[in-house]
Amino acid sequence: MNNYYGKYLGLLPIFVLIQVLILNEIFFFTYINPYLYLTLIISLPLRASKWYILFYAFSIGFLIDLFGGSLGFHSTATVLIAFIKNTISKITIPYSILEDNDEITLNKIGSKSFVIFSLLIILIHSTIIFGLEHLNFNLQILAKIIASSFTTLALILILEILNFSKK
Amino acid sequence: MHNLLRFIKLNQFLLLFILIEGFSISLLLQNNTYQASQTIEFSTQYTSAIYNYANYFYDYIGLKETNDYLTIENAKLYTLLQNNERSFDSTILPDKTFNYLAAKVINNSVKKRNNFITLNKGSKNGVKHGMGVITDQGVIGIVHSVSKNFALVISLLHKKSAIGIFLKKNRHTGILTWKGFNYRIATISDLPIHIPINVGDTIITNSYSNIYPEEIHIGTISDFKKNNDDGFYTINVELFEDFNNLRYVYVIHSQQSEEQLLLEKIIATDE
Repeated sequence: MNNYYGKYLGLLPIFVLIQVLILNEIFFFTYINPYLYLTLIISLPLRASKWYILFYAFSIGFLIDLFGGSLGFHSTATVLIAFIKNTISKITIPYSILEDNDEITLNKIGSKSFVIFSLLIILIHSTIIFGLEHLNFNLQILAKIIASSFTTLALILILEILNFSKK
Repeated sequence: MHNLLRFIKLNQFLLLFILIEGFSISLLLQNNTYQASQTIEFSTQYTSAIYNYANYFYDYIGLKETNDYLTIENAKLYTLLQNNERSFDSTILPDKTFNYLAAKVINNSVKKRNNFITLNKGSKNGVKHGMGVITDQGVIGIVHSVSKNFALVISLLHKKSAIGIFLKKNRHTGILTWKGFNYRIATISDLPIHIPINVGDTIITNSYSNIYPEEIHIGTISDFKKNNDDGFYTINVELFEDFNNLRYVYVIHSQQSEEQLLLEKIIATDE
């Protein structure tokens, strides 16, 4: 058993609580709803057991859904990004930079690849969530997707930089 | 058989993904079925307990606003009481068909397409599925599920919310819904264009509902558009209530609602 499995399980309730008690409460604008918990799925090592990744993503989404009162929205989105994460990493992260159990962080893979990799994942996630919620597509929803994605990205980058300077 | 096992082993990731994603989507689709509401009802007691703890903290931050709100509310009730004492007019019958139960909002959202509100009163206090929730400034929603100590309310800011309304000046009836995005604006789209309306007209609840009392003021018309194709207005209503700032609400128990429902059921079965 790799030690990061336990670490990520421990981080899960913390990020769920941050999401439902703080980020969902803070009112930026109607258009902005950041999802910071994506940082967990983004930084999970690529070689982690695929079963673990899928079940992990599902449990995050399911817990957030339970707090929101309607089931299925977040779990659908998180499970999908957990599934396509490896494919996206092949496009955006330079080959053989990461060793087997390396987490995907800003200083490991470089800021350019990290931003592109995270942004792609966040955009897909937001598109699914807002698409499912509204079951419709128009300019307002597009604005919501883009505004929320960039806020999420900014928060994740801040978290990464704080993490980096600590070490 | 051997081939099948090999296939499963090779594609286990894909198969597991399809399984879990399928499960998620089925949760999404059966959001309104009995099982789903049972799940939500079961989880409400735990999630609400957490919201309740967090609320101890938020309470301290909002102490001043709460005080102001309660003072204003007190003053209002006091005037109401005085007016009542003075007017022993036999033509005005006091309306005693609705009971009000004050409840505190412990969780609320306005950003999602489908918003829910959690209240700190539950089945222990007599809250039941389907009861209406209001404040003095408008209609808030309907109770969706109840646990022992908490209740989950479908906000007016929800795809499925629809409130029967009157135009206050001429009692034309319509249905108020929410289109998403702006939590201060709701929409009416079933008023025919021959009815004269103006910006600033007041919207109130209608008398057909057995959930809400009549004549709760909801909002004013902020702008409207005539659709000549289908013959209906698209009216934007600016709500009086600021949903982002809900603190205390009233859960309504209508004593006549069961009687009315029973009567309407008889008619339905006769046909």
